[in-house]
Amino acid sequence: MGPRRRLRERGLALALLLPSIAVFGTFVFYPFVRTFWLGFFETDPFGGNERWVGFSQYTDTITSASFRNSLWVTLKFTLLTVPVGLALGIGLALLAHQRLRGVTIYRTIFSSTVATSVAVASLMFVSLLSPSVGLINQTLKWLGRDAIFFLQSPGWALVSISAVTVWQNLGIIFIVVSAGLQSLPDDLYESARLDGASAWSQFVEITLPLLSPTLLFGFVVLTITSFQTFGQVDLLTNGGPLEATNLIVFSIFETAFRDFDPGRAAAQAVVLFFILLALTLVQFKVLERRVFYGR
Amino acid sequence: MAGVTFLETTKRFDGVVALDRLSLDIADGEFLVLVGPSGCGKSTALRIIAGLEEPTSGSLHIGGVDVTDVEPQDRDLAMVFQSYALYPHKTVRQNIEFPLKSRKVPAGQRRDEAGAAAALLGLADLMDRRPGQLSGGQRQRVALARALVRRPEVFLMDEPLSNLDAKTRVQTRAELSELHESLGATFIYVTHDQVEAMTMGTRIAVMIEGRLQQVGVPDEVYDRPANLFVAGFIGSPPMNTVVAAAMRHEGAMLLQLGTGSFELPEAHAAAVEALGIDAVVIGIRPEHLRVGDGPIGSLVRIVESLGHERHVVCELAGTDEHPGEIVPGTLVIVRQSSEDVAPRVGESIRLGAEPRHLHLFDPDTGERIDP
Repeated sequence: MGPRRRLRERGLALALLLPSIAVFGTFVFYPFVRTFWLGFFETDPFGGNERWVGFSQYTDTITSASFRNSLWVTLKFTLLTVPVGLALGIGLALLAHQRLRGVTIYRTIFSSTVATSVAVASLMFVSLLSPSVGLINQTLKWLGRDAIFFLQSPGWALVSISAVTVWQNLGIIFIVVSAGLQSLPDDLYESARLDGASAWSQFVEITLPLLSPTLLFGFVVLTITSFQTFGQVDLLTNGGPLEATNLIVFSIFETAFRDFDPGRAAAQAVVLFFILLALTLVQFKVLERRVFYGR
Repeated sequence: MAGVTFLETTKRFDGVVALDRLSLDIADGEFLVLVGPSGCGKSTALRIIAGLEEPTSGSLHIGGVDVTDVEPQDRDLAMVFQSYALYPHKTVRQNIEFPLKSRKVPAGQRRDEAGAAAALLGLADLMDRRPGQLSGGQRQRVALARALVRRPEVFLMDEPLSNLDAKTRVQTRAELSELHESLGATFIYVTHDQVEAMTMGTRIAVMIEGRLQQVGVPDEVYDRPANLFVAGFIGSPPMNTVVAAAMRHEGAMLLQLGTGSFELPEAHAAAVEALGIDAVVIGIRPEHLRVGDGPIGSLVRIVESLGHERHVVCELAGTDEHPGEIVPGTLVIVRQSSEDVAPRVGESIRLGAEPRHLHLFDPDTGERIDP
């Protein structure tokens, strides 16, 4: 290739990339660098009057008891939502994969939570979980049991937030796993039936290994979204009671917009970024050995 | 004993008849080939034996026992799929061991038996590979090894050679026949390739449009096809079929074909007369047409040399001079040895055949007319 042609191709490549560079630059790269930089400054409530404080806000964040609590709550939340969400998604996808009359209706229902916003999901759960008028407590009352304060007691609040989240995530996991199941050839299962494999053994020996790339994807994405959860907490519990649901992104939000400390919030956000990065790398490293990508 | 019997077995899919009242007895230890064009119901028949499809009506018996409602895993049979259906994430060893593992055979015994099956098929060096790392022929062997590791009474094979290259296919054909000899099990083999059917089957069953047309040893099906479907399907190039008018002339029955005519042996003539028809379909195998002397004038259209033999496509002369006649095929193929003198394209030649090589069919029903 001549140098002129190479130059022309470079120009074309740059022109084609420009729109996405502009969008990503404005909404991702610049804010990211800016956040990282902001973490080194103490500011007034509006982000002005910057004063250089070096790494002190970062070290404060890592050592702060409140941040550590948020991290711990987020970890518990992840453990409550990710495995349950994946398992339920797989279960529903397997059910809807059966060739039954009217199964498309169920497919639509199962995937519908994708089209539901966090706000709607939260409101629905309020009407389920409310101590006085909620459906569950009405039922408990009818059974002669005491009401449960799902969103108000420290023991139940995180579980309740997790339930909303699992429900909300179900649609996307259902869709992804269903797509994965569609790609598995029927004759493998026919062969396994002739070989005498039970339904459970077909699931363990064939379905799970061949779905493993899909499941790894679902696992990583669910983990990341659970670390980024905000809406449910903001709408249902405000991080309480007693910080029992003070998930990490909610606590960053509070630092920035209730304590009016953008610099510290930026430092917390950067720490969260590195935690997620490390977590994702570990997930890939550990799990990829068990994933079969074909060939 | 594990013979397989279909009794009036019918399968419909959404109203479409895939298998129409099939009754067929497959003896224990037989190598039966189900052959027919795609969509003829042969794979459906095989899947009904396997238990992967349920018959709409009728029944299926294995070893004299009605297994129509028995689950696939309880039928003591193994199947080799067209796609091989190997588990892509398992090694060759794990694939071969899987049927044993599913039946809770202890690990040690599993290993020995898988090793023996692999050795039989020359896979011993490939045990730790995955299917994706194997050639088509090797995958096919793994599928076979997985099928025979349990020593089932019945082997089902659904077009197992169709994904192989021509050379491997010929080789595997011979190996499958040997395997059948040495195992002594019942083999039921589905193919659309009549060469596979002719070379491997102890008997072949020709199916077309969901119906069994003829069952017999390969030579019988080739030499005495039961109807026009079978005549056109078995043999390559296919049997030439031409409609000819039949008439009595001075006591003898003459068949009028284009400008030529010839006398029908009396036994055949009587059979044709008994049916009360005034035209018959004549069938002649391409290798039985002689170039040189004969009653049928024709024009050479195409000459194809295959090296060891030659196919000469001829148009029957004079057929257009009889506009009132039914002429379904006016082109015939002659199969010559490559040592014969090659006719030139455009040349007029005369074709003839020995009376014993003529096949006659009823033009209305397509059925063979026997004396």
